Amino acid sequence: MTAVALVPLFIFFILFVIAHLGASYEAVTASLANPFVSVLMAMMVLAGLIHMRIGMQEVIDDYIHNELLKLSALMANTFFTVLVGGFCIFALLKIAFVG
Amino acid sequence: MATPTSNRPLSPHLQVYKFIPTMAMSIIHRITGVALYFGTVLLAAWLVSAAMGKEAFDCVSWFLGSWLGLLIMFGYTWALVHHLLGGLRHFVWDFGHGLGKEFTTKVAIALPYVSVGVTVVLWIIGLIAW
Repeated sequence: MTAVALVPLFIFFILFVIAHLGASYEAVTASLANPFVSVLMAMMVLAGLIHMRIGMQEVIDDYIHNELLKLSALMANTFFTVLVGGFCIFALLKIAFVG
Repeated sequence: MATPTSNRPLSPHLQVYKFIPTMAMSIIHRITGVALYFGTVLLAAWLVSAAMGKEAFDCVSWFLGSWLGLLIMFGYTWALVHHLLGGLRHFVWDFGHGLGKEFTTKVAIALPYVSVGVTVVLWIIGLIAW
């Protein structure tokens, strides 16, 4: 499900990055403050993080067989994705509302 | 006398399989996925720096524009394109199409060429835009 959503979202992201290569701080933040850009970016971040949390869980289940290690890895997986999501979403909101 | 370890049955392990294209693509799909996972730190750094202010943003931009930054970004672009194309293949499979042995092998052989090609084209467009 997240994979389907991520195809158009990442195409949008790649185009956005190409369009802003070498752009100034002012130009980039102005674009990121645009509601459509901001929401699509947030959707990409959220879908991407859910997708990669599921994927990493699969990898952990496949390769780590020690119970304690597995539990720690699964927890670290969730912490990492939520932390990255927290930073990205906060940054997007701050750029949009505060600048 | 036969050595005790010789004729004993083995559980299937990675090294008993013949290395084939579909297997390589499966492994690369997973490796690019893991690389993209940790690469999100760069995306977070870029967004947070833009939220922090001009100085932080220019600092991250400088790093991404350095030869090391460009190398990382090129690798990241390829991993993303490869994983995305590999994912499209999975969509087709999910609908029950293209599961034949010959076809999947052909796709697996073509995939790295296509992903490198798309990445190079994206970078040419990017460098022209830059």
